[in-house]
Amino acid sequence: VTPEPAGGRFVTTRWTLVNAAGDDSADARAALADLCQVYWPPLYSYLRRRGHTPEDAQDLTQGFFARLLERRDLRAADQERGRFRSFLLTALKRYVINEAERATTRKRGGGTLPLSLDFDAAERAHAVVPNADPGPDRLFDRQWAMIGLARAIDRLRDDCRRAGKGALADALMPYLTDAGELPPYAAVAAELGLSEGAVKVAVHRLRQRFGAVLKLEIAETVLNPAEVDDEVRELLRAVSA
Amino acid sequence: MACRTHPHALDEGHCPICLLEAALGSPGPGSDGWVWADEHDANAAARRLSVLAPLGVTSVGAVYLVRQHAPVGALLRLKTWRQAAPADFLARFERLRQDMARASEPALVQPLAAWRDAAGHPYVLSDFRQGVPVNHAVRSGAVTADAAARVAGSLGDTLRRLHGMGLAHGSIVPGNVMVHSDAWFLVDFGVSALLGSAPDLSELVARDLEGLSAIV
Repeated sequence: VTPEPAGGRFVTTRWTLVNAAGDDSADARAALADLCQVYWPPLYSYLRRRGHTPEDAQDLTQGFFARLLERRDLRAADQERGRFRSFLLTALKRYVINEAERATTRKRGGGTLPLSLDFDAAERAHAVVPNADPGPDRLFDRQWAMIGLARAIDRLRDDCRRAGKGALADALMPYLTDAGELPPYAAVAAELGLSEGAVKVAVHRLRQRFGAVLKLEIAETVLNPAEVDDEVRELLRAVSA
Repeated sequence: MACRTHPHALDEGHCPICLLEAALGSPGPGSDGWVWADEHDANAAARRLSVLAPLGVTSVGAVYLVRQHAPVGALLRLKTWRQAAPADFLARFERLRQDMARASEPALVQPLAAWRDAAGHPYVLSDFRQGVPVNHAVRSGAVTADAAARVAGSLGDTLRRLHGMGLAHGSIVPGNVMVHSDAWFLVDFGVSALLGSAPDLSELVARDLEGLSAIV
């Protein structure tokens, strides 16, 4: 299972574009909105874990993104732009502090947010708390990691289908990790009409390919490809805690 | 479906620890799998560069963020002009490159290469550093007036040191003084002297001091 990268075309490094193109660039604004659309749920969970009610967390999330996407000051004020994950959480913390200082009760960001935020789904995801009570920052990082992993799995599946190997990938995808409760390779080989050795090789390639796809996914959120492995390690620490 | 190695990790689906560990152990995308833009500049293509995004446009040229194919992923800054380069452009550049290497000044972004295209238009490739022009940073509130004053003071000290070494920027304007976090740096050092009639050092120093005064 070794599909080629999608068309060999440019896969945008959106965070690089946001940083490099400047805040006045329409492309940069669109790239930032794309990233926020993908990675907003961890912010909601962070706010909930900090003790905000669902209603307050929704208001703060919407207000934060409205401010982030429509006004340059919030983006420009944050110089910690090495990684999108760090930038977003730092900017949210600053925003929450400022909002608390204003002690405002006005409705924030009503109706103008260029994102589609499914708070019901976010609340359901937040309710499934893993392990023993991680703090808000750790929960944020953990949810961030889970989003990246889910997107990488979807992307791997799509790549395989485009390469005409969707059925093989569907059969072998459960073997991406060692769950221990799966049929032996010999059984799945018989089902696919392949040798056991061929299945082992295909699973190995699928795992290798997953690593590459995940790194491409993470590369969207860092400024320099050299940071990708460090970001993987940080996410690994977050899910291991 | 529990993970045999990390049974605590997840109740269902793939174990995130296994997935991330596998990713760390994987070779990652090969050189063809990384994030190349379409190459829409013949010179960039020839030099194995991919244009990622425009960084700025002036009346006489443009600056691009580019990625170098090998070593994989290096982000660089490419400056171009829509005017013919002088005949000794490459020789001037080589002198500048050597002078800046000799200066070993951390506030200077190092030039890496230069060339001319078929039309004789010049290109200068240099390191890329993340930052915003100091005037933008002040206007947005990212840099306070006090911090900007400290930048100006440090800039003056650096210019005096460089002038003493026989080096001058030649175009000290806010757009060439960049800030990032608590650091500042200069872009396009000496580049203005690569084009047109070669000005002498005293003229370039005078321009630097004039530009510094305007910033202060």
